[in-house]
Amino acid sequence: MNIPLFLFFAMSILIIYCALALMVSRNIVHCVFYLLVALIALAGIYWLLDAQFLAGVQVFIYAGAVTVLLLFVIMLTMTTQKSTTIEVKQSPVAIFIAGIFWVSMIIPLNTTNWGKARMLNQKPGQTIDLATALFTKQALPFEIAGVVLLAALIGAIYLAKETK
Amino acid sequence: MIPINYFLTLSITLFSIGIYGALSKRNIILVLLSIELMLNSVNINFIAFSRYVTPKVMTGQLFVTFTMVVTACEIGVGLAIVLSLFRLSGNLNTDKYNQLKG
Repeated sequence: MNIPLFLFFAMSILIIYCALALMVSRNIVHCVFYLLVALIALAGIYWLLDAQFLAGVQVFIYAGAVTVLLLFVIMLTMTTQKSTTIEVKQSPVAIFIAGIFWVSMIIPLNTTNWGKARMLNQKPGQTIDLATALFTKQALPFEIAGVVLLAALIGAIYLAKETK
Repeated sequence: MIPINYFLTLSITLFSIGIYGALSKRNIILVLLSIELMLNSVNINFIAFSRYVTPKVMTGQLFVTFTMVVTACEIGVGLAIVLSLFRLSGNLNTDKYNQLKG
């Protein structure tokens, strides 16, 4: 067994375990920590796919910012009422829909002939290629993304503001 | 090396778990967490196809950059809405918010 395959299986098992634990855990703070572990393992998957920049961004944005934001909101909205059930009544329907989706995607996915794309046969691109594309050819979408972030920032401040 | 279907299988499994969570959770914050899982599983797909099909051009990685921007906006605005909902009625139970029911 080669090392990348072993790393892939280790991180996949960690991600799936954490996602399932997130779904069954009753304590919401534990849920956020399971999500944190899953997101960091996902950064490892990105690394295996030679996307080092995105792996770093994943750790910064998700593991850093999003998790801290979620924990703050949970602490701000900590209710005294302990709910005994964490799921709504349509939970079996949700299992059914998710299961149908999984089966209907997994069968074609593993029977398709991926051809040349199935295995790695080319050298990976480098982060400098991504940066060059972002600042030359894709400069307009990049700027628009900045505007979207600014709009979301202002919107979030306005929504969370105390109303009189 | 790792065949591409392994990455896609991981992505689909994560997406299905996210669908289950988004449809069945009682707490609004848990619904947001499930949506995060689904968005991240989509990112695996983008990066895997980018690596295996067009490794030099990196279209998939560009897409993931913008997905991450939109996800950050989504979680920020979503949590602001959660806070103002909590201020409005004092709970985060999705079953309680049924004022639009006919």
